[in-house]
Amino acid sequence: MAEAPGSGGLAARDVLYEQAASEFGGALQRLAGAYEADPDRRQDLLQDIHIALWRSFATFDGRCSLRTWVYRVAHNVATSQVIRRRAHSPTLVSLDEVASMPDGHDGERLVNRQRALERLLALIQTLKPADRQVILLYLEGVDAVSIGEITGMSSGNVAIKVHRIKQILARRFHEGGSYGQSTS
Amino acid sequence: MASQPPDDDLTSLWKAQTDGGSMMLSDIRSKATKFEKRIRRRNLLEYGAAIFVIAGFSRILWNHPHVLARAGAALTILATFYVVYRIHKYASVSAMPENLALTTCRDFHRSQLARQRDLLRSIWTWYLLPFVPGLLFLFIGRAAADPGGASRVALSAIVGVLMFLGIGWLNERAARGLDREIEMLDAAS
Repeated sequence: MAEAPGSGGLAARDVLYEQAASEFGGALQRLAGAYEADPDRRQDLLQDIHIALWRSFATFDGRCSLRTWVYRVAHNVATSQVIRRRAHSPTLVSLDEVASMPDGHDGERLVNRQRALERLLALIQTLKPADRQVILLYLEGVDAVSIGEITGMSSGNVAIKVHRIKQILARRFHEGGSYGQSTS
Repeated sequence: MASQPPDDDLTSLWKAQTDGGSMMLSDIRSKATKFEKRIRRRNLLEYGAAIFVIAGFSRILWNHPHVLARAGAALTILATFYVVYRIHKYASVSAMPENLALTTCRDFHRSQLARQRDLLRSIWTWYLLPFVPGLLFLFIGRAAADPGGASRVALSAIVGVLMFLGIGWLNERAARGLDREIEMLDAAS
């Protein structure tokens, strides 16, 4: 966890931003990709997230970890974009709805990592913001307690959602084998 | 049944997507300034549209032969000022707040949905109704000034009423959709 080195002045803000960007730059890029399929809009979203993050550090007081801070800012910026563009986007679904949807690829042996990634991204992009936040944090390796702290969900609900995510991912990506391995 | 837990394979596949992704601090500073400028330009555009409406009704205010039509134009101009004030205060496109990190994702999401719903639901009181007295006077004034064209004015009034009702209905429908989203969010938290 990063302590606020100052009272939120420009230098402290810069230091915190650079630390956050260096530790979570990759995660932010993945997050932007999971919220926005279009490359130009994805780049705009990533830029908005970085700007919001830099601005947010003016008020960083160490009350939560740097990781929690960064993910909250990033998901909140991305969610406001989802809300803004909801009229022009396809209907988003919940994890429960995804679990009950047929998937044409079920049971297929996935050997192509790129294809698996594209399918994973497509799956995430159909989810409602609350479920999207949980699955993205889960994929980033964030533990359930921290997911609760970032999202504001109860630990019970996080546990249920993570369990459901594991079921969906297992069914869609692992049944019949693991990707990344040669078939022949 | 799954043959193996997905965790390791999928998370490593997920994280292998990118490496780094940070932006230069100087870029962030300059883009933040540009971002604020963009927001200011967007807000100015809203005011520009209001000025356009006010200019149009000002012509009626000065030139129309009938006092009721002039009164209608004056009321419509006042209504435009009121709507611009409301947009500026409650609904203008603003830069992202600095306290984004102090709000959990669930609370932020809920507050954004609730804000939009309340704006849509209250559109009658702050966007549509303020224009009604002015337009009513305007229609009556136009009909009184030109009795021969009263039927044309009546037709315009009916189209206007239908348009207002349509806008109100569409907004109420969208607000009900947001209500459902908020309920689902509450149930899932």
